[in-house]
Amino acid sequence: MRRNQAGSDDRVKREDLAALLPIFGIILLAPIVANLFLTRSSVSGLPLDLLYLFAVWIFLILGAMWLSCRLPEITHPVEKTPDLENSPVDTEET
Amino acid sequence: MLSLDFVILTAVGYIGLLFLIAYASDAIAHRSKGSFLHSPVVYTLSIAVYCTSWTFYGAVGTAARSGLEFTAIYIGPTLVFVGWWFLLRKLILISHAQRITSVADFLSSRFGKSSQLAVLVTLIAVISVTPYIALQLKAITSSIQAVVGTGNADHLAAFDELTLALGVAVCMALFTILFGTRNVDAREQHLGVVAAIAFEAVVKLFALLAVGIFVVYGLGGGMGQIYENAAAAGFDIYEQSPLGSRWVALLVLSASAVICLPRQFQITVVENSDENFLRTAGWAFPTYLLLMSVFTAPIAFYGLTTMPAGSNPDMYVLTLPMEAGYDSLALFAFIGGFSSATSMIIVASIALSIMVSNHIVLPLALRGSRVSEEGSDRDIARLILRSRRISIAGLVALGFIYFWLTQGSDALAPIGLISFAGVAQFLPAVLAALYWRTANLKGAFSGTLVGFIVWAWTMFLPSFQASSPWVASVMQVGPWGISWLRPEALFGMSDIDPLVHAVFWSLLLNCSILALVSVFSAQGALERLQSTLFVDILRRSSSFQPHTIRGSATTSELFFVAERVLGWKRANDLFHAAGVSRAGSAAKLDVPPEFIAELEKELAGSIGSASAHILLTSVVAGDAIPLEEAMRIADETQQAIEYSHQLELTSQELRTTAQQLQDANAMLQELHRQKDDFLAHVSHEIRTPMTSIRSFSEILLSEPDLPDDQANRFISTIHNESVRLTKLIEEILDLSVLEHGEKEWVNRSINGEDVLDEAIGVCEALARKQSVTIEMGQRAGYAPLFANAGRLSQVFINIIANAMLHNEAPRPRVHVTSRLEGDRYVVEISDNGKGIPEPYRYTIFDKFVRAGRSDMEGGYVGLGLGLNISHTIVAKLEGSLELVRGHLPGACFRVSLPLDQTIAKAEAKAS
Repeated sequence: MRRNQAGSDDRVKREDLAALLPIFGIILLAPIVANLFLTRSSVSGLPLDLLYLFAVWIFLILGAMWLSCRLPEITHPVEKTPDLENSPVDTEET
Repeated sequence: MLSLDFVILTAVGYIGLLFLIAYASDAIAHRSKGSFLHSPVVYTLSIAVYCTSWTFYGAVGTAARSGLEFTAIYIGPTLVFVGWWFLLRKLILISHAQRITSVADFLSSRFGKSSQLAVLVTLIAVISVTPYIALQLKAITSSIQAVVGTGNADHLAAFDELTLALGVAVCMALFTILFGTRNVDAREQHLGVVAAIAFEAVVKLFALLAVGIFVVYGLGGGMGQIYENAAAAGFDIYEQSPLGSRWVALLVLSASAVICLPRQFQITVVENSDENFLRTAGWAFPTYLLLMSVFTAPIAFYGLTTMPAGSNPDMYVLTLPMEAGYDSLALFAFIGGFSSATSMIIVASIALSIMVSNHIVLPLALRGSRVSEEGSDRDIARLILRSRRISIAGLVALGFIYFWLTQGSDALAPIGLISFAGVAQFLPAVLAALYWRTANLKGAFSGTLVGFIVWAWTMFLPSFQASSPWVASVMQVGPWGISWLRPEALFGMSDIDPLVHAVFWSLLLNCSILALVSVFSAQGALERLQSTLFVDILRRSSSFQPHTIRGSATTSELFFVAERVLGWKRANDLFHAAGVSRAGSAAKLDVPPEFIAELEKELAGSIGSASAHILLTSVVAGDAIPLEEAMRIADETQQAIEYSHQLELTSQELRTTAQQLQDANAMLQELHRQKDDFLAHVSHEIRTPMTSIRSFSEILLSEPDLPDDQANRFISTIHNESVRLTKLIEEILDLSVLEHGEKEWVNRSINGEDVLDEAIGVCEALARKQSVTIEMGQRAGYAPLFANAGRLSQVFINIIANAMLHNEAPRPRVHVTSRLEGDRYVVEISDNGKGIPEPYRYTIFDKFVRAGRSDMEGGYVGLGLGLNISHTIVAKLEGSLELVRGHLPGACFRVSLPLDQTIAKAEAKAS
């Protein structure tokens, strides 16, 4: 029972993280934050501004990757009718 | 330099390969359902149709011209995809549940299956995407010219730019018609096309990476070296101006484009066969975008540094390998760009043709003639297919015409952004459809329409500036000379980037009108149902059956309709699976409404929800009224539920009241018992003196010759008993007055010490009589109180008198002290008697409790009411009366009263 409770708590937290990830992305990419890195300086020859944008990008990808196998299975709220799906019937003109 | 013949033949060969892949995939999909085609990898790659030739070639151009701006076009979609759990998941779940076929169908279905909205969205999509198709044609012709160069003597060299574009357009239209309109599928899935698109995604990624690696590590000597050289050549390698409104506008546009562009909606939502594919696409698609752009900026800087001034940066991806003499790599890059362009044209034209046929052609055809009239058995399916084929050809032709009209304009990026901003006008309605229940058709329609008009005026029109003198003059002075209507300075907002200007005004007006009109107008019945189905999709239980058409259709009529749209086999399967007999035309069997709903959904999967609704309501007579009726019944049910809820609340209240009554009754019984006890006590107290008065007076009456001294003793006893009786009655009256509230209880500012002195004075006579010494201990001197002096005096007298009367010590003493403790005045009265026996310590303040003996003692006997009265008075003065341990052996009573704060403060201030 306790384990179930903890499981559902974790699930809610992971769903919250899924919402926070793009929000953090938006904040990090907003001009007010991103402009802090327009310092006209370079790291090993590459401009810092460019490196910052790619770093945020990679952070977002890694976050989504981490979440991808932790978010719950998507269940379809409406029952499917499998006999009718994926069976394209040729209705080409004859 | 490559020969034009060779390049064109390669392109033709590549298109042939695409045909082969599409054909083989269709065949595989037909045979096995669980093939690799239904995999998250193919799904993710097909979403990469987002990367068109604009991305492939134009991103380098953008990086060369405007620095970091090129990343915004990829970062917007990245944000949408990493947040798939919230937006895309809901969008896909709804679309699967409602068998949505396009973005127009999505909005129309949400807003009451409205045909008008579907038509509007379709028109906007066609007008917005046309420039985008033109852009692809332009990219293909420019790239051919770039790889071939001039001065060739090939057989095909006679072709100019227009002819080339026309050739490409015709090829693309043919491919799309062949593979995109093979069937009127249940969910508009085109597995062959998707496989070809996924293949193209791999080709363009590898081509761009190959060029990138070649330029950066083969020619440039590493990333750092390229930047160093660019800086040495005088180029600014850093972002020149801070990111601002244009950056934000680009993020918004690209994020909305990846949802609202018809081709993205088609691939991401409609062609999705499993919602859980998003799990992979959520990170894999952003990774694809990252890989596509990782070499963009270095290529741009290398090109700027090494290429001659004036060369087109949009074509660096091709020209750099060619300059270095690597023609084969240039050809690979050309194929990559060609892939980007063709995949976009194919998917966009399929998506648009579905919208045009389902939302414009079919409703017109349905309105023109009743479908149940005579006709061939597959006329609707045939009509749809034919109209799709024609619209694909028409759309590609429109793209070609736009290309022809805007040949003068140079850069690729502005054309793509025009398209993005056009479809961004769907975003407010899409978000409202997903999350805002109140949003209604009028709001969505008017908001989208106004947004579209503003977009057309501020962004679409200016793109013709180079080719039309009239447009140029309107841009300069405004229409009819009205300067505040100038397309790029609307309402006087000039000095701002034209893109930001257009995005700001169109989305602002779009959102505001959508919100305001929705709030101030009502939803129709069907809209209310659909809004619940959309907004609450994640909450809904699977058994919830949305809207059922009720009516008088027979199975044969329905089968007739189903057959004409779905084909005989699928219609038969559907009827068979539902257990509905499609008996002969004579059988007037009623069809279960659930089946009609299921059928409507199936039809919607082929012809869109609005058309399916129109089609079925035209067969099933009189749906409109039953729907209203259904809503009324639903309302009544809602009322019944509310009523029963109210009943429940009332009965809960009743239970509470009953409990309160029970408690009150218990309290009354307790009071009744106390009253009985009290009466018993009082009767007892009265009976004793009355008995002695009566018996002594009887003796006096019956024996007149009693000796005088005896008679006097008897009379004195009668007198004493009467006094005692009077005192008892007085005390009972006093108690009654105190307990029931005294009318004339007036508190005044008094000095507690004065009252205490007065009480001691009163008691001095009794002290002398009893030979008791009153000792004064430490005194407070001054104690401001807000109290009733008479009542307080009564308390002190009572306690001092008790201390004297019940003192049996040989040298009786009463000790009185008073002091101020914080904000309280404390008086302690103790004696050296034998004190209150232990059993009485806790009940001494109750009525009729006497700690001492009840025999006569100096003519006075306690009635057991005095301390109770004192206790009541002190409580009324917000003080306390307690029995404490004093320094003398006997009892010690402590009276503690609050000081009068106002006076105490005033005095403290004065001092």
